[in-house]
Amino acid sequence: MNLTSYIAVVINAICVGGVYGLTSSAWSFQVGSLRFANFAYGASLMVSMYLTYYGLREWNLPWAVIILLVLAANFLLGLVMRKTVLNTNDRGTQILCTTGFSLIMINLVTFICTAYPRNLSLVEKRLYLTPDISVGTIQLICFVLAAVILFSFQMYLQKTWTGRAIRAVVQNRSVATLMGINSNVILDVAFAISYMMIGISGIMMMLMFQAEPIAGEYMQTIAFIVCVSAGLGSLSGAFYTGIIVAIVSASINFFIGSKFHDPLLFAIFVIILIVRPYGIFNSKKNVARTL
Amino acid sequence: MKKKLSCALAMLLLATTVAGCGNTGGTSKEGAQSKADAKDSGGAPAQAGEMEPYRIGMITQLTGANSYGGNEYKMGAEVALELIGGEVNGRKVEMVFADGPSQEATIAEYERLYNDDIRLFVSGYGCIADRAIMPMSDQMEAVYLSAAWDADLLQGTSDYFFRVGANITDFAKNVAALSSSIGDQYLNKKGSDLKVAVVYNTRLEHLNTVVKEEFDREGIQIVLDEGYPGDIKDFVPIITKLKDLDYDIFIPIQGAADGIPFQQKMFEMGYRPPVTFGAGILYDTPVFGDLGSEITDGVLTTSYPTAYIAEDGAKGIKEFREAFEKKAGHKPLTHALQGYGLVQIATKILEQVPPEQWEDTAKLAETTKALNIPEGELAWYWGVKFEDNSNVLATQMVANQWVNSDCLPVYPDNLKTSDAKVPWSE
Amino acid sequence: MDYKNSSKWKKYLTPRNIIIFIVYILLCLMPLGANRRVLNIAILSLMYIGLGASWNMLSGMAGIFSIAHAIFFGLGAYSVSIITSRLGWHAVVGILVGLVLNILAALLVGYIGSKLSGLYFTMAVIGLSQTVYAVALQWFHVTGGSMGISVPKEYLMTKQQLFYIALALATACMLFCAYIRSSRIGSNFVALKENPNLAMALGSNVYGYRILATMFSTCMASLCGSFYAFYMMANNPEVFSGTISIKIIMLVIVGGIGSTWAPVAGIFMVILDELIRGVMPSRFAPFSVVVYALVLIVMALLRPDGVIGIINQFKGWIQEKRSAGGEGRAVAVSAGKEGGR
Repeated sequence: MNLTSYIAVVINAICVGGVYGLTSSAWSFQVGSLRFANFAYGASLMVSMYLTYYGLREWNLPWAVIILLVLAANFLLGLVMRKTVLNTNDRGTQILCTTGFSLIMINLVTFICTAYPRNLSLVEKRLYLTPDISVGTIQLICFVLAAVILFSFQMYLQKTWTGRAIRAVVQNRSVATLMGINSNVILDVAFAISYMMIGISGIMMMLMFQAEPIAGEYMQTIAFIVCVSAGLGSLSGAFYTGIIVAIVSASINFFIGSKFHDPLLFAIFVIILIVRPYGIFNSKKNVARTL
Repeated sequence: MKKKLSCALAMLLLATTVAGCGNTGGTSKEGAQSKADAKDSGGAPAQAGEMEPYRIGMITQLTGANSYGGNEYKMGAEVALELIGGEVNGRKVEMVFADGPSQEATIAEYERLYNDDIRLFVSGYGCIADRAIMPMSDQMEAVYLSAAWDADLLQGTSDYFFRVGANITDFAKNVAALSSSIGDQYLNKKGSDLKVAVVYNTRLEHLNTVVKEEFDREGIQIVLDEGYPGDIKDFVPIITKLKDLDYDIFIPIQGAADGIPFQQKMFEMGYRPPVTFGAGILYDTPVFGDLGSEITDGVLTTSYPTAYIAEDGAKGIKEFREAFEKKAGHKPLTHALQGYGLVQIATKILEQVPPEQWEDTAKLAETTKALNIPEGELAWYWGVKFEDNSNVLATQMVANQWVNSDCLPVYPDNLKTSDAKVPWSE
Repeated sequence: MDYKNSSKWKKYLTPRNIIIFIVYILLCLMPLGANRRVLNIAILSLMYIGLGASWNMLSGMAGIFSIAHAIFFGLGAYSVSIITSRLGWHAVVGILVGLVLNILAALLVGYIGSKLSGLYFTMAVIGLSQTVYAVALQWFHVTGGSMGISVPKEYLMTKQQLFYIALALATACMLFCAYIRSSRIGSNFVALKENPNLAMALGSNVYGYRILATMFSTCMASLCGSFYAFYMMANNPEVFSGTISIKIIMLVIVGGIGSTWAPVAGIFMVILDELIRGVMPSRFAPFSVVVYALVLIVMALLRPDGVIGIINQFKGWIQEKRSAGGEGRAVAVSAGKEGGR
């Protein structure tokens, strides 16, 4: 195989991996920090993708309105989920109810929009770094945006009052309440904000790929792999691991053959879970047992 | 509060159960009543010929991922009945459609229609449940005209289940033979000098396996055999692999959901294969044509006989085209012609049996087995003659080329409307 | 001695048991009069009772939350199809191979369950189910790919035969669950769920019982899957789908997770779905899954002890109303507690 071609594939994978990283870090935040097992994640991503598609192609709204619409819809969705489905602290019930919620969303979308895949049919220009190696413009922009958004989210958590309150509640809920923070409201807000991140990821994924009702399931498994490898709760770790997972995925496709991509990737995931469930980059043991 | 809520829940659940049962009870009672009526009217033909319309069932994908194909089948079937005036030998004939987006749903709808006394069925688009229906047909005594192409569809002989459409082996033989003649005629390469790259969606692996066998038999070299799963998002690694390879013909075996992004990505990356020869499915549908002539011009494809074959090639093809365009507002796909063909054959069966004997399903089955229609007589070009329940006169495929977003037949000689131009240049 | 014998016999003559007995006799007589559609619904419902019993044993009794139970079901169905059609051997071999495959799967899942818990275990099970689905979809030579495989025509059975087999299967699964529940093994399973550390401290082999519970459950699911292969006569990778898993989970949770009669109490949802599907155009098919999921969420959040719990509450109420005063209260509470299990 050609080295130049492989480099081209890797550079392309890095851009895609940035978006994987963004989506996975939102999930990592929800599950690791906020301790909500949200299995309706893929479905929410898919709903954002469909909203973007309909906004652009069917309703012909300007970009600013679409972004606002998706962000607002996701914020609301996050609040609704927190009030209804994720209102318990029992992990089993959370998993069950969010799985049910995800099925509801998938099937409602199937009913309203039919399962025919929706494509934005964007023909993007490619940036040629060398005559043989090129990168898609939209993908590059999405990569940069993903990094920027994650960075700003980190800053938000560290510098603003709400961000510090969220970190306090994550660290020790009861003491934070003693200190005068309304834990439940803060958790609601944190969850809704992470849902807005899902919204942005949805917009990016719609720009790069196509949407169908089951599109979210694949992304959810990728999010599992990324988060578990990075260690639940670590945001920047999720970003880098997203890129690594995308590179591994592209390498499997390039060298071994795309046919083996799914079984290999998921099998690796199960093995990582069994061998190092607390994360490849994390040295904290026994996290798996307490969650 | 909780007690009241659980009380209410329990009552609601009970009520819906009873309602559901009551509903079915009602429907089956009505069903029994109409059955009795039908029997009465059927058993007394002398009474002024007021017979119940005969119903033909078709279960096709009206919703779901392949709904565009399913709807084409439906409209093709309706056109078939319209063009004969909705009646055969004085008795009305009607189509009953049901939606089967998955195998389980199709079987459920089949049982429902059977319960409603329908005894003559034709396949819908995709023919997803035909292999499950095959063993049941003899037991249920309902004639089934199948367009499924599975290699192992038929298990032995049957009195009621017939494969009317093409066989996947014939289709694959055609892909290999046509690739070979493209190489021979236009590229001056024969046998093992000819190199092909096959890229396919693993959902269509059954087609790929047979195509590969046929290529091996012809001695053609396969330099790339790349299958990808249906949920793949990023095609860049595969296209990069193609770029690096030295080959003559690119053979994609793809559905609409993955083929369209694949072609778009190739166009973005500025890569154009030397010759593209699509193995049907996506490549002869208007969805591909919508990509624009920059991408589609020059692409060759093979398919079942389309609605655009030469007018003197098949009887009634022009009437079908015009009636369909008027009804649907767009040009007919190959699927529409398949739906039309199946129902046309069903009406030919009914023509040969006196209308008052149509309820005798065994007689219909015998007539079907003995059918003998030559090629070119029916609008879909294929003839009908069964050997071991398989149609031996449904082997002819056509090759098409896309020019200016039109899919024109270029082979065989009696069905073509223009000549192929390979390799394509402006 | 006389006193002991007669009271033992009378103990079984409760109104509940009499009703169950009559319903069972009616079920046995059903194929003689019913039409094809009713038999189809009945066969599917009986199979789901068997599946529900298997899930209940794993998740309700032993507390191992199995979110993708369709893996085991699908493995049983595919084993029969592959063995009878690709290898041409007898169906019984197919069923046995299905059981062996499922025991191996149980060992794997049990091992995963001992190393991980809660969220991580669920993720691993989902990853496993997606691997199995991807392999079934792509390994064309063995599994027939997306088209699936057919079971040879010789194995076609009439609806009546299928009904009796399904009835026998459901009865066997329910009896097995009841037997295990009242035995020592069952107590160990419940201890595994309630407090594994205490159970280990008291000398119970928690690891071994976890594997045993998973094995029992997957073998029952495997038998149901093998039956499904003969019922449908053609299988495709959709047997591994999440919809089947959710249907099983929902019917047990609606019934009342943990109690032995849960699958029977919850089966009316499956019956309802089949009835509605028969009269409603398939365009509305996604709605049935929406309704399942809604019912699942509502029952999981509000009434985790399901229909059985509601029935017990009624019983408690009635007892309370009958006997007035404090003594009646005590009787009612104890009657409510005992009636469920």
